[in-house]
Amino acid sequence: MEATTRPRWMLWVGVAVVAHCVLGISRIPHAVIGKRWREVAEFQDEGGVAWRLRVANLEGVDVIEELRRTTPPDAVIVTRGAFKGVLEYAPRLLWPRLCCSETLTPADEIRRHDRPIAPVILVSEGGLLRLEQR
Amino acid sequence: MRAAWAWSLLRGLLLGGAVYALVAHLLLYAGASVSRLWLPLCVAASMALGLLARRRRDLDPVGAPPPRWLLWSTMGVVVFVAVALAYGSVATSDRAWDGVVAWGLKAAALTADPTLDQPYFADIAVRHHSPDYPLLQPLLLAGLAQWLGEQPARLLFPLLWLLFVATGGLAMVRRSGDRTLGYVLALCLATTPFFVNTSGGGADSGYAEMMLALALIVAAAALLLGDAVLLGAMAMVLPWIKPEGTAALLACFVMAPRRLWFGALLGGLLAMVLWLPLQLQLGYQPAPGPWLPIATLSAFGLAAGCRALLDGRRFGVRGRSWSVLTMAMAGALALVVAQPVLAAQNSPLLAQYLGDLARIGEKLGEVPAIVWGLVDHALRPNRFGLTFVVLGIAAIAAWRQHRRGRGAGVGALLLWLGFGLGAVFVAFLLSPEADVQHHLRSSASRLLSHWVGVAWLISGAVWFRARSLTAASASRGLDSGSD
Repeated sequence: MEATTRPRWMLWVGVAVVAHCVLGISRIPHAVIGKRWREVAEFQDEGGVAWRLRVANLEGVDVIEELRRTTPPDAVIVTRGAFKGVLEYAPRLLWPRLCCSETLTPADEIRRHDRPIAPVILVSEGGLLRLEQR
Repeated sequence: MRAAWAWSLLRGLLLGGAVYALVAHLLLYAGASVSRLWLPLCVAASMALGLLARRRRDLDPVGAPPPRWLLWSTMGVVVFVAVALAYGSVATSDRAWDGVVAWGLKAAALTADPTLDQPYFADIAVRHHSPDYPLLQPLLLAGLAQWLGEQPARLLFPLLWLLFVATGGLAMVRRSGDRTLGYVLALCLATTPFFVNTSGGGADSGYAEMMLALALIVAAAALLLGDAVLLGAMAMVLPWIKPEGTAALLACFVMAPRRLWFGALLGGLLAMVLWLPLQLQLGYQPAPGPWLPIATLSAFGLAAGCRALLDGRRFGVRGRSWSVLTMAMAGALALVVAQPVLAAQNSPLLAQYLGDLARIGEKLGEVPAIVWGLVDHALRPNRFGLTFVVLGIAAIAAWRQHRRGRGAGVGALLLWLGFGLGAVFVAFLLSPEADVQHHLRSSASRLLSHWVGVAWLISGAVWFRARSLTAASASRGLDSGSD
């Protein structure tokens, strides 16, 4: 009879698999559906720019919104500052505008790739954004 | 639907995606645009060929048919979660960090103009995240967006998750003939929290973790089922999905059994010959000239020669272990020799991760923290459920089965998984991030998530083998009893 006994580890695996599935299923209502539903609703209420920056603990909504409002979609935005934090987000939040590095954009250039260059520079300093006349 | 038919359909779809990836990368390499016709053409042709070329019948059913409650609960969970993921994908654009700053923006640029000959990719002054990162996910999103629009194209994400779950379930049925085990495996995959969570790396977060995990589970299924074509296709796409895919590809080639490694080699060769020049171009490096494809071909030729030699009778079953050791040592030596070249690269990926091996020495004191951090993340129920607990038990059982000469045929897969998890550990040693705890918090779960599908597939195969052995023992016991 001993030869027909299942190894004990199979029992442990069976218990662990059941626990895994029960845990996973029990999370669906709140962690998979509820949380996603709330996240989407907040995103739609606040707008993509504000929501994304708030969730990422970044400042600069007003500056980004101002650029989106005052520059054409094909504009080139000259940027200054370390490419991290909020400046890392800027290319996506300003798309289809292109963000170009100030050091690689000649100061007297007014068009690049047949796109108009915005008359302001997007400056990131100490995690804060501001606009500066170019 | 019969499992053989479903598997052929799934395999055709996956091969179609791989063929599209090949065509798109060839076009990018040639400096051309990727026409929107290619995606439906490649997928439809591959699916049709997959169905026409189907030869294998289903295995004879093993065990009792799956209980109705299991069938309905699996289907219910899959449908509920897929609908939630579809809603999360389509209702907004990317919401999580890397999805926003890297993957989603590349997809938007390729949707607007599906070529690298545009300012976004060609002008070094244009600032964007990880410029030399692989492009397969953005290409697929752009290919779909050109037909459906940007938001509906994001249905790609729940589709990837569905393919991930279906691959696990169907591969297990193909391997064992046991539909109950297939449903259980699919349910385990569907209830693993990481990919259905809303955080970064979740299926609808816009990250590329889901696609890499899918490619890895498909490669694992190909290894388990002895499917050289599918293995070759996945070896090809792995480096085009995420940088980590290249390490997985190398392991895939080294660990594959003798009958299969040529497929992995060919796929990997195609991938690297096309990708390395593209990566240099995306990293704003000078054009490499003809030396790069020739060097890549030579490297793969050398690898193939070593593998063929080590697979020879002289080394017998130890061939694979020798192969692993030799490749690891050759890789380490190549990295040391190439230090000056790598350090001088503009590419953040090459220069920061591979261009400063001295960093490993500085981080040796952090090894216990890294190991503990990885174990801690692997065992978090809200990330992976009990995936790695089950894997741990199954791995010990597989080792014991192997020692008794009754292995489950998952040795190559286990070695591959071990290599993958080892590569996750090495990534923390090589990382330029000085704050190890911060790096663990931001990346450990994502890097581990790539191997979730492989882990469940191995666990399923070991379980099936043990049950078969028990059934055989019982049968022998009954026979001897009746004698």
